[in-house]
Amino acid sequence: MAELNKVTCGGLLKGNTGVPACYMDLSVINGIILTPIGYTLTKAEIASTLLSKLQTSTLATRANRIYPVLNFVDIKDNTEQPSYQTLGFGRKVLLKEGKYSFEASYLDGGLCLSNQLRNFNPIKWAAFLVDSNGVLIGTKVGDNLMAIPLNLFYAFPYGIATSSEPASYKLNIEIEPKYLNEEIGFVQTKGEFDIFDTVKGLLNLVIKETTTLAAGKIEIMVTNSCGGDNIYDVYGTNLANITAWISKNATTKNGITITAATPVPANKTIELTLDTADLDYPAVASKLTIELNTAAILAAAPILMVGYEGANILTQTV
Amino acid sequence: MNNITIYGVNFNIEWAKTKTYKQFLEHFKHLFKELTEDERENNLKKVWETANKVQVDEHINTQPDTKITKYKKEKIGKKESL
Repeated sequence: MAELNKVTCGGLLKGNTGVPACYMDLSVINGIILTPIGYTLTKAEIASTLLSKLQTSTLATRANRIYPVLNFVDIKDNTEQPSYQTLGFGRKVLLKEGKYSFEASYLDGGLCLSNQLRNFNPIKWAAFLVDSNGVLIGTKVGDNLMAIPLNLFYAFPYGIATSSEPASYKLNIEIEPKYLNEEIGFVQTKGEFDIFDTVKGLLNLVIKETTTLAAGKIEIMVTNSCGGDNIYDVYGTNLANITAWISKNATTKNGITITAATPVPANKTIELTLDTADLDYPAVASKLTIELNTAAILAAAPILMVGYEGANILTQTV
Repeated sequence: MNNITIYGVNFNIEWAKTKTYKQFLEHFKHLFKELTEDERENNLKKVWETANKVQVDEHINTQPDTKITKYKKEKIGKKESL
């Protein structure tokens, strides 16, 4: 209750200095999982479905997707020092705490991953940090673990290789101190699963026609967007599945029935047969589109291509 | 019903259900060209039969569409009686 002319001086209401036998000592940060702001793991998910929740989230639609970057090879701590002012008689006063800032280096993925990560630069992100012991670090919200809102995520342009150093790939991350101190939340995953091996980001696939659409038939080649290698030898059987594909009328966006998907080993392509009698099949000189289905559909039975997403849409004139 | 893969080709079963056997054969006349005519038709017949849960008459290609219509009516009649 407020009172006139009464000053309330904060007493120490919590905090002691005993040293526990078992305590959290965070190890070096080996990776981050970028998430949309507000992404939260509930108490129930942490208790029983943590791995599947994380894996499912890597395949989710953009609004709910998480993006693991779990391959750091070095960390440089650039955290600001606290700012003080020294008063006239020599006494120091704390003005503000420094913010956590670190520069993380990675090698695997090279320029491909670097250019993918640079797409994230203009957007506000949250993130879980993952230390080398597989501790997933976020911020505690009630009984839940929320990803830490980042002050800054920045993927540098790649650093040019020199005669003494290889090309370098770096991220800069800045975090408010409270999230890794008073409000820290963490989950030890090591005993449950290996987060570095089991939670992975998606790879982009590019589709292109090798024969243009004719009488409802089209042959398509599927390549990795990075490197451009044809994935037919590994995934030809998986891609020869109607469920892997979506065709739409380019104007109405209504779906067009795909009646068969045929592997063509000689060309290392997939031939799709469309229903030209479908009411949504465009008239002559109009356009239709073909694309791969969502990452979640590609990952599920019967296709079972886990970790891939189509990066482009083909447009064909009838 | 799931799609069905015959000789490496994945067929849309739901779509096949909506077609007569003759329409089905006509639509896929470009498939299995590397096979003999008998092998080719056997593959396609298996797909259509699986989709429609009826057997194709041996002489279906020479029959008018009414033959197929008869099969389809029988199948629909069974569904209705359930």
